[in-house]
Amino acid sequence: MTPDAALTPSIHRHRQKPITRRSLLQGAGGAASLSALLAASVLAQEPQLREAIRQMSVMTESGLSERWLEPTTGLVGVILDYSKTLRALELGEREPATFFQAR
Amino acid sequence: MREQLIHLSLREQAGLIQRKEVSPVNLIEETLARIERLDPRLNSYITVSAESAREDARRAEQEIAAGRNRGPLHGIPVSIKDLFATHGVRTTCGSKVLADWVPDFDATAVARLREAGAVLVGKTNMHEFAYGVTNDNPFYGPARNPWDLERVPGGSSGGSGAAVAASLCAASLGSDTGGSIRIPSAVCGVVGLKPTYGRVSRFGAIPLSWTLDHVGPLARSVEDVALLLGVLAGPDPNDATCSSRPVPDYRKALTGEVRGVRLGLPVEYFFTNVDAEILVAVQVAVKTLESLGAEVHPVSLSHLANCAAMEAHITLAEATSYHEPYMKTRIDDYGAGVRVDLEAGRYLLATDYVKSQRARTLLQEEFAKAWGKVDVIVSPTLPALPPVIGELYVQSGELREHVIDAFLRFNIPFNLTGLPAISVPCGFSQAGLPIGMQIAGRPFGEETILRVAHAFEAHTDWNRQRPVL
Repeated sequence: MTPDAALTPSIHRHRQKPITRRSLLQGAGGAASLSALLAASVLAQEPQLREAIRQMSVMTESGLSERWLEPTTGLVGVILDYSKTLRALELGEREPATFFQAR
Repeated sequence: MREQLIHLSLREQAGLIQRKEVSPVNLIEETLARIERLDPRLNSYITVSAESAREDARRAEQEIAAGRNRGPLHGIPVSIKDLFATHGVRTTCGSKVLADWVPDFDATAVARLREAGAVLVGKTNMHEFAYGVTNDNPFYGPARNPWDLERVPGGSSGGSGAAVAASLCAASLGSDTGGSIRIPSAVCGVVGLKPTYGRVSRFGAIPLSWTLDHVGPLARSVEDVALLLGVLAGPDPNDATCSSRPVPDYRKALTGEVRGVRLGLPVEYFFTNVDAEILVAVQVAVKTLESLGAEVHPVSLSHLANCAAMEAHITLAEATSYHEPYMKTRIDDYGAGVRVDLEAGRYLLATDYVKSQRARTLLQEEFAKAWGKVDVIVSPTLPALPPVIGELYVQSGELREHVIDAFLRFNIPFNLTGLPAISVPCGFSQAGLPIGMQIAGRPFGEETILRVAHAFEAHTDWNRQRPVL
C-alpha cells in the first residue's frame, strides 16, 4: 500500500538543539522567577545526579553517552526539584486506579 | 463569494450542501486550492490527500443526490492530526521514526468521521510525537500561526489549529495530553474541546501518555465542536477506558441560555502570573456571561501546585515506556528535545510515578467538592501570548518562564482529573494575537460547558474574526 500524499515533505536535517523543556538553567533572565529560584538547587545537586544517572544507565541498558548525559541530568534535576512538595503530600489510603477513570 | 464559502462554519457549510446550494466537490476543490496557495507559508499539513479527498467528495455528492444523507458532516472537509492512524494514508506522528508508516486501519475517531461522511483532506503538522507545545518540528518544519507567521501556532496539534483558523479545512481532529487541543485553539483563535477522559476512543491514536491522552475536535464555532463530539463520542471495544454512557445530542444543549448557571472563578493558581492583556480579556468575558444571567462564585482548589510534578512523572514514564522499542533501534532518529525527554523518563522513580497517579485521586476529590458549589470553572486557557518560533521563554505577567511550563499550567489540571474543558476565543492582544478562555466542567458534563461557551460566542464575535493571509 502506498501513501496518498500529493505533497510529500522533505525530511529536514536532524537539528541538534540540546535544549529541552523545563531547561531552566538556560536563558532564564529577567525578574526573580520560580525558574531562577529552582535553578540554584538544581545546580547544587547536579554533579551527584549526573554520576547517579551515569551509573543507572548501565542498569537501564540505555548506553547514555556523554553528549546526552548533560541535558538529561538537567531535566531530571529540575523535575526532582519541583517534586519535593509532591513527595511531602499526605495521601492517606488513596489508591491509583487500575484504569484511570474520570469521576 | 468563494472566500466567504471557505470561511463559513462547518454547520453553515453543511446547510448549503444539504440544500444543494453547494456541492461537496466544489467545496473540496476550494479547500485544496486554498491549501495549495497558503500552506507553503503556514506549513500546517504534513500530507495532503488530494486524490482520495476528491474521490470521497464525489461519493458524497452522489449519495446526497440519491437522498442518502449521512448528516451534517457529509461532504465537509476535515483534517486529521498526523498522530491518528489513517488507512492507506501515511501517518508520521510528526516524526522521522514513523516517516514511512502507512497504516492498514483507521483510528476509531477517524473511522467515525468517515462513516459520518466527512472528507479527509490531509494530515496536519504537529509537535514530534505530540511531545511539546510549540509545533517547532525538526523534520517537517514549524507550523506557523496564521495571525503572525513568525509565531508558534501552539501545540502539539499546532497544524490543526493553524489549518482551522486559516480555513484550510472546516474542522480538525486533535489530541490533548497536557493542553494540545486547547493550546493551539487559544493561540490560533478557534474553538477546541478536550472531552472527558473516556468520552472519545483513543484507539489508533499514537499514545504519548495513556492515562493523560484525550481525543477531541477543533473548529471555528462551539456548535461545530458540539456536532463533531456527537459523531466522535461513544463506546469502543478497542479502548478499555472508553465509556459506554449514552451519547446525548449535544446541539440540544446550545440554548443560548446561561441564567442561573454558576461560574466558578478559582481563587488560587489560575489567575496568578498571567499576561495583563489576557487577564483583562478573560475578566471582560466573565462580565459578559454575568450580564447574560450567570452567577459568579469564587472557588477554592487546593493541591494544584503539584500538577506540574505529577504531569512530568506520568508523561515522562509513560512516554518512555511506549517508545522504548524504538529507542533501542532508532534513537538517532528522534529530535533532540524529544530525545532528552525520553531519556529522562528512564531516571525518574517508580514511587514518584505511583504517587502522582494516587495524587490524581486527591485532585479529583478537590474538584468534586467544587462541583457542589459551581457548574463550570472559568480561567484563561494560557497565561502568556505565543512566542516567536524558536523562543523558549514567555512572559506570564511578572513571571518569565519556559513556554512548556507556561502553556501546560492551566491545562494540565483537566488532563490529570480527566474533566472536560473547552477553549473559546475571547479577545485579541494589542498586537493582534488571539486570546482564549477555558471553561471546564464535571465528568461527562460536556453539555454544560458547551452551553456556556455557546452563549458567550453568540453574544460576541471573536470567533468570527479571520486572519489576513
